[in-house]
Amino acid sequence: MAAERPARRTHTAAELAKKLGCDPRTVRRYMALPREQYLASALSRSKPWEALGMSRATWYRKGKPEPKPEGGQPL
Amino acid sequence: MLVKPSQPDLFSPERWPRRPYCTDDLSTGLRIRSLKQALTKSYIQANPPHMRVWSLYDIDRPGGGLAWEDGNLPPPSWATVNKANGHAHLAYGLRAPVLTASMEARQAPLRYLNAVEAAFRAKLGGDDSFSGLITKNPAHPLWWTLRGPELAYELGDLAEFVDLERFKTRQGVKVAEVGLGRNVTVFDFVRLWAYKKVREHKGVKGGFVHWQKAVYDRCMARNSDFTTPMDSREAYHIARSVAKWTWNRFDLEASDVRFSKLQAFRVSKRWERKTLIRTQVFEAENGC
Repeated sequence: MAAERPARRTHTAAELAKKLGCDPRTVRRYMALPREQYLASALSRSKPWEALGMSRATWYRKGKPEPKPEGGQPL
Repeated sequence: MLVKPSQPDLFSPERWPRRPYCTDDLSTGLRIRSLKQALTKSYIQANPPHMRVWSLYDIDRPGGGLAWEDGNLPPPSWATVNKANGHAHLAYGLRAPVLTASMEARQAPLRYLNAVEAAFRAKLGGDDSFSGLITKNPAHPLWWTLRGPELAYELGDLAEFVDLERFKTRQGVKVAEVGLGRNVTVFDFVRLWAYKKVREHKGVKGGFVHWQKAVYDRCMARNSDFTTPMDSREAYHIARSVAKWTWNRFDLEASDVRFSKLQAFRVSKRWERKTLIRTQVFEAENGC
């Protein structure tokens, strides 16, 4: 079931739950990014390091470089 | 100060059981004898089975006969002191005896007496497990008997010497399961159960007979949990009182209305809390 307000939170559900004295699920029920939206922008799905021809560890080490758009020169 | 005045009406028959339990040696068990015979034994049942005439306390320490002085309490009607070790039984006579096991027994005076007894027991440092069935016979030469100036007190007068609020029975607060505390415990336990169960027997043929039996079984089951259970007659009278009241006077419709209101109140509280948390979650996120 979608949250009442489908948006990304700046705090984790656990942090807010602890602060407000409720269950993390209650926080998620009121405000959470829908799963599809999360997956659309998730690194584990888009795998930008593969487009750059490097490993994930190297990609992090180089400071998370963004791949150039189609036709552009890779870094 | 305890003196040795004469108390001519101490052994008047209306203040003692007609045929009390008595014995000379507790290890050989109790016998039922006439009052005249029982008064020759060293231990005797002071209260008739259905009422509390004497409020009894067991002080298991040397100097127990004067424990009331240490606790700033009034002098007892009598104190029987063990000459060998100084342990004593104190007895406060009640001007208006309280019915404990009878069809006319009422819960309010019983609870009042229970609270007074609990407060006195705490102040005197009395034995919590003393059920008060058998006491040292004040007429027996084995004990040193001290007699107080008053043969009997009003419960209200006794209550003035203690902080009764601490010892009054309240819902959710467990009372000491000794003496009259057992009556109160069984009554509360069974009545709360009976409010829910009585509707299962209403409208059924022979319902009241089965209902009485069910309530009595419940009372006996709870009574058997006590270290020193009550006399079965006491349990019977509690059961009969609860069974009759819930059958004749407990209004199921009014109970349903009360329950419905309670549920509505619970839901409203839940919604209140939900709304508050919802607002706080959004505020916390928007504030960042």
